[in-house]
Amino acid sequence: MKNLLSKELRLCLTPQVITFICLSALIAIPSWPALTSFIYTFLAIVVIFPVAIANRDIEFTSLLPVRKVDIVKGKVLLACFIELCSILVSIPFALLKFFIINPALGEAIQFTDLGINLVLYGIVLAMCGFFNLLFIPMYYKNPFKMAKSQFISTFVIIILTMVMTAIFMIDDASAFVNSFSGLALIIQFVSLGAGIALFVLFNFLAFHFGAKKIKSIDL
Amino acid sequence: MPQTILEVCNLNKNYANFSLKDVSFSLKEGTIYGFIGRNGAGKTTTLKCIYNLVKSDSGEIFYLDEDIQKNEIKAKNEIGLLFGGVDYYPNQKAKTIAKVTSTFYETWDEELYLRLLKFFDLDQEKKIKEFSNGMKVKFGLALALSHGAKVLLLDEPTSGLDPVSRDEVLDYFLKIAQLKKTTILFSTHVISDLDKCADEIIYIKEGQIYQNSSVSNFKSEYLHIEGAAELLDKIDKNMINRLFVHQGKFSGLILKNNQSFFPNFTFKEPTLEELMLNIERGNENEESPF
Repeated sequence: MKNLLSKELRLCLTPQVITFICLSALIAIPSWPALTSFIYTFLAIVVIFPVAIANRDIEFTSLLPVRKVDIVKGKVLLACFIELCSILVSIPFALLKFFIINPALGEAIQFTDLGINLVLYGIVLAMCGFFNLLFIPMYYKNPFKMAKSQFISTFVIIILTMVMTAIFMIDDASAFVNSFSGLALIIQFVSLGAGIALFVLFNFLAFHFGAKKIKSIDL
Repeated sequence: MPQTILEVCNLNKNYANFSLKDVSFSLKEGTIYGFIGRNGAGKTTTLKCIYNLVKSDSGEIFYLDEDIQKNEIKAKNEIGLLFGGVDYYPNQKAKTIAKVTSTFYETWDEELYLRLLKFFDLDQEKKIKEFSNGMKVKFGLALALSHGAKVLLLDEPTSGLDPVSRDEVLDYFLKIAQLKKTTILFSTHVISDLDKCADEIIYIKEGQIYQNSSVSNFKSEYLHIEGAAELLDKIDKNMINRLFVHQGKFSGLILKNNQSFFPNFTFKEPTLEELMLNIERGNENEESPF
């Protein structure tokens, strides 16, 4: 597993992908819906695949002493790595927004959506897992073409981001998740735990279904 | 008696326009096999089935008596596979590709790799796209040979190489087969390469094994005949396969059993290329599309 991830990082992590990872810093922009800053994370994942096709990555990997399903495992690991890096990059900027930018702007800020809290990161992790589950099996149905899987999964994740942002614009929901006291704090930790669990589960399923697809095709 | 190292049993694979039918053969330790046949005869598909890149419809493959499916990683660690040259990640340095490749092999020999680079006169600081086709093949061979593979499955390893490099590579094959007991199965359309180094020939025709024998057995049935073209009127031309007349001379193949019908002619051992053409085309005169 270590050598698979190392191979992916050495060969597939392009400067474009690193730029997209860094764009999760957009979370610091005042009054900007926090979830939208992670759209670039999904784009980072989507762009590694056409680059891999152009570089004949599947042909290269398939000649290494690995199982056919390890081709999928490598890409799931890379997708998880990109998503976790995006989250890590966003954290200092989220803290900057929470502790410095928002208090400095005071009344000028309208807290009407999902703010900086653990529920946000729980949802982001679940969405990352969901994106991988949607995109990876669809892509490995025919790993030499990707327009359909790229378009559908990006479209679905944008709609999901819109819906999730809209849900937390409902006054009561927004007030509840942005609170750090009593039951709300417990809910925050539970949400983060659930997000982590869903991230793991969805990625396991993404690998499982992707592996099933690649087993049935001839390379 | 050399040990059987790889065994392919009744391999079948059906495509819409092509089928592999009951392909069976075994490879013995330290032997060089020429895997020949026309384009589309099933050579690459067979090699891909062995390496589990193509899922066969039925059949079994054993590596050292163990089902290759059940010991895939162990088997792949000891089998080197190369399709032509390294044509991946053109913007990466050869050094990076080698570094990544080396992490997957427990038996990677860095010193051997560096010696092979020197032998093939390759600069690993160059990007893959800066390599010529021949250099890409050589680099692929260096990677395939550096992990001490017991079996090398090579698809067109000498295509794109100049005659000198080809000769060097073939010499190297002979050396590792003799000294390291490496088994080599290589497909090629440069049939003269096999005349130089192959011990056995596996001939595949339309998805089926047509012949599987030693080079000497493969050549045992026919003789190459040549003589002055004017003598053709005095002999039965129908007994000569692949008759070729040029500049007052003729040449062709005859069955060894018919040698007595051709007194006072010059005979030679036929080349593998002549025999392949005889198998594929016989005496047919295909209608020209022009």
